[in-house]
Amino acid sequence: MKRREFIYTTAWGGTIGLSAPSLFADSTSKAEPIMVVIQLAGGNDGLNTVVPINNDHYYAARPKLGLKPAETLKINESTGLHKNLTGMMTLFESGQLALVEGVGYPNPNRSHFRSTEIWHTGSDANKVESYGWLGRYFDTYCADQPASVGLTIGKQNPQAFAAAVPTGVTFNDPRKLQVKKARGNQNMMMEMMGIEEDDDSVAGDSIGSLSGGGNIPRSGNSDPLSFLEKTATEANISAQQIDAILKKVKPEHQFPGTRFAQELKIVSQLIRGGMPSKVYYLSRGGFDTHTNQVGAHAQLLKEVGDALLAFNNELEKTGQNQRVVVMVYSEFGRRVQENASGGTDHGVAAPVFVMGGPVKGGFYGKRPGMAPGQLIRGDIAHTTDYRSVYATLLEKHMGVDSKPILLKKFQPLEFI
Amino acid sequence: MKPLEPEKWNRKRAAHLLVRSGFGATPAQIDAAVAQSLEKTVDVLFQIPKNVEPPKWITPGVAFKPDFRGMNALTDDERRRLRRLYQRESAQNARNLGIWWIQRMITSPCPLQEKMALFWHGHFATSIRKVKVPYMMYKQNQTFREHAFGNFQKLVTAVSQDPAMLVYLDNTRSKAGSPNENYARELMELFTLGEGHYTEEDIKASARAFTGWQMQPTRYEFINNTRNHDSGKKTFLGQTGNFDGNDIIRIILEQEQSSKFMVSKLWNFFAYENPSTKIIDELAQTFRDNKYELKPLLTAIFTSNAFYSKKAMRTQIKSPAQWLAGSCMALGIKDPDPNLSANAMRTLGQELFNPPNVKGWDDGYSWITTASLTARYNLANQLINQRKRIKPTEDKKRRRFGGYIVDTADVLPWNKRNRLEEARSHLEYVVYQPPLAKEDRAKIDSFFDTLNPVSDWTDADVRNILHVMMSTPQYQLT
Repeated sequence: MKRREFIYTTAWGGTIGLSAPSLFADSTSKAEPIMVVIQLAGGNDGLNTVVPINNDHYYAARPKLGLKPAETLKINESTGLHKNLTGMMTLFESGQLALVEGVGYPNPNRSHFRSTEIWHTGSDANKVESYGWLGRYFDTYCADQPASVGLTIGKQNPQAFAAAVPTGVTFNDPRKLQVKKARGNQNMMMEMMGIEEDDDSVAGDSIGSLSGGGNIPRSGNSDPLSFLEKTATEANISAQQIDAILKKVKPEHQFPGTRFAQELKIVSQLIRGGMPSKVYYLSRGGFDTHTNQVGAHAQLLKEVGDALLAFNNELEKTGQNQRVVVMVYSEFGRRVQENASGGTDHGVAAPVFVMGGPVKGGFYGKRPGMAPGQLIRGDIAHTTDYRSVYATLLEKHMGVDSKPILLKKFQPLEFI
Repeated sequence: MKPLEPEKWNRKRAAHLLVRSGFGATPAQIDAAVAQSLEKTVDVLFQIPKNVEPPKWITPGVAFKPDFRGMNALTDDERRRLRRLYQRESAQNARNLGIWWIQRMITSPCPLQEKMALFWHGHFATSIRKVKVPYMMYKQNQTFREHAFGNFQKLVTAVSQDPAMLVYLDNTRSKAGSPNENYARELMELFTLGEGHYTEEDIKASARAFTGWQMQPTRYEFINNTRNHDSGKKTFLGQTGNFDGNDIIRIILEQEQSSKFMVSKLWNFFAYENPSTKIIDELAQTFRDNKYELKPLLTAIFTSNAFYSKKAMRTQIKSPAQWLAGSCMALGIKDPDPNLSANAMRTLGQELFNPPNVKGWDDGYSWITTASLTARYNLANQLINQRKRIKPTEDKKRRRFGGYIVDTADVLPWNKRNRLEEARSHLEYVVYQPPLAKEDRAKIDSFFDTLNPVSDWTDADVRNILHVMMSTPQYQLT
């Protein structure tokens, strides 16, 4: 029975018993670093998010949509945040929010799908990569980790997770992670489903002590059947873990009722409960504002800003936020010139937000010029390659060499 | 290739052939194949059905581009409403297309044609997310069906002139003076040669050659727009001339590499991954000798000894299409619930007509994640226990459900319920087709040993047994 030889040397199988009260104590800040990656899908209008309030070109191009200085939360003479970003403003003032301006890549692609693919795979614009940048991170640095090293709340694993060894746990609804078991002897049913249960391991190990993640090896060269059995076992374990954590670890602060905020609430519970995930991936859609942008965009930004603030508060108050860096990006920004339907069309460069305890707040990158001569086909040109942002997260927060992941060397920025 | 010896033709191998060349097989179909010879069985695989019933929304009008701007009689508001209506209809049709195809996979009298269409869809991956128009995707799908196992050169030509592909890889925007290299690059990298067998100069030259192959302005049809064609001299893979797209395709297929590239992709798809170079070289020779005709190549694959070797038997992770269509066949579901079908394919990661990128789906291990495996287990349960929907009537507004879709007396007929051994081996045959390895069989046996006597099995018991058998790692393999 060679294919049964994978074992969980310590905790997980056993801790599913969940008896010890110390189990879900908030793990310490010394524990493993965590990245939370958030995509604002559809192409966020960066210019109406981080507003260049002293720029005449901006107001000339946007007679209807341009936000007057008074309609923004003023940071300095040249910059205001959209007035609904009060949450972000609080974070900025507390020095935990970095604004990286003009982020993009050479030869920009204005298709959602292709540009998303470029950001997800960390590729050049003219190259198609099979694996995602986070997938390469898992392959290169997390080979001994369980599949839940990457966790997505959404319908499917993002392309960023695509890896040589399939990795990542995804759920839209945590309840859906549970297998509906057939009737019959419990052990027999588990056995039939290929789920290995480790009855012998000692219950009571703190989840926090699992700082290296679980101990289920992710092996790429097993035969298909043992691979399937391993996945079934991992699915069961992560479902139990998630279920147990969500039941035991309750948020200490109020989160807004929006779906996005509720997802971040779950992430905060999982982080505090010691889920062995190093990367969380979330996405909020609706940013493709071609028509009547004003109300919709304001609503979206409020939702995002408020949720991020609640998330950061929760982690800060529970002593977790030194572990966690959140990156918020969009596959592209939007055209400088507003269109005739009260909206904006697909653009190129946009700001990226990085937030968290380890972040040195402030402005990074360089604001792209907006004079007609500086634009590329009507779009602000990028000044910082998006992979420099990735490199900063990987090298300064996750503590790994970013070259194998980003396929070449990119200069990290100073925001961590 | 060493052929399979005739005396080795048995149930196990017949099941393997039918399942791999299609999506599933019933015990009756397998028994019929065993009764025939291997040659005869393979020959029958290629019998193309005369008529393929198109989806209902395929009407003559859908071949034309809607011209909202030209509708001068309408007010702006009416036009906007019309556009919205059109978009809603498109979204519905797009969804319907995937459901329609799954149903064809289940019911087609020529499963190999659908299997090959699926192969070509993954090979010449094109996504509706960019193409937008469902009709173009349908048209491409029919092209794959038409050339399913015809001539590869003709297929490559048809694909190079296929409207969906012209849009997807931008050739329709490629003009003399400003050629777009997208199609030329993928044609060589992904469709025919593989990376490393051409240069950037070859891409530039072939992009120029393909200029003018465009889509018509008013209809979703190919047009060779000679005014946009760059008729100048080009040097491509060592040959020089005033080449057009046809010349490029011809020259590509003159390279031995393209036969090897295609043969190894097909072998991976039908048999197993990483075959020996000997297998590839021999089959590539066959492919070239037959001027890139696919039928002789596929016949050589299906009759070879290696196709039935240990490396091939029950080692393939079912794709979601294989899983869904095969599960429906095993359970006797001819017409799966459209919502379940669409939802299953999305959840399991193979949304038809929407591959993740131009490389298509990765196949193999990548189908299986913790979420997708859990979903497979749960979807099997859903398929087995789903009830018929009864359309709401005027007086009873709420949707109602009737009896079960799956009839357990069909799956396990009464005359197979005399003894445990008989019932068990019939169910194993229905659910797993090619028999399980000894060790796995023992596992199933131990489960059956815990059950009540067969004579006492209720409808619910049989459903539960099917649920157990299909929620196993073994069921994910074929």
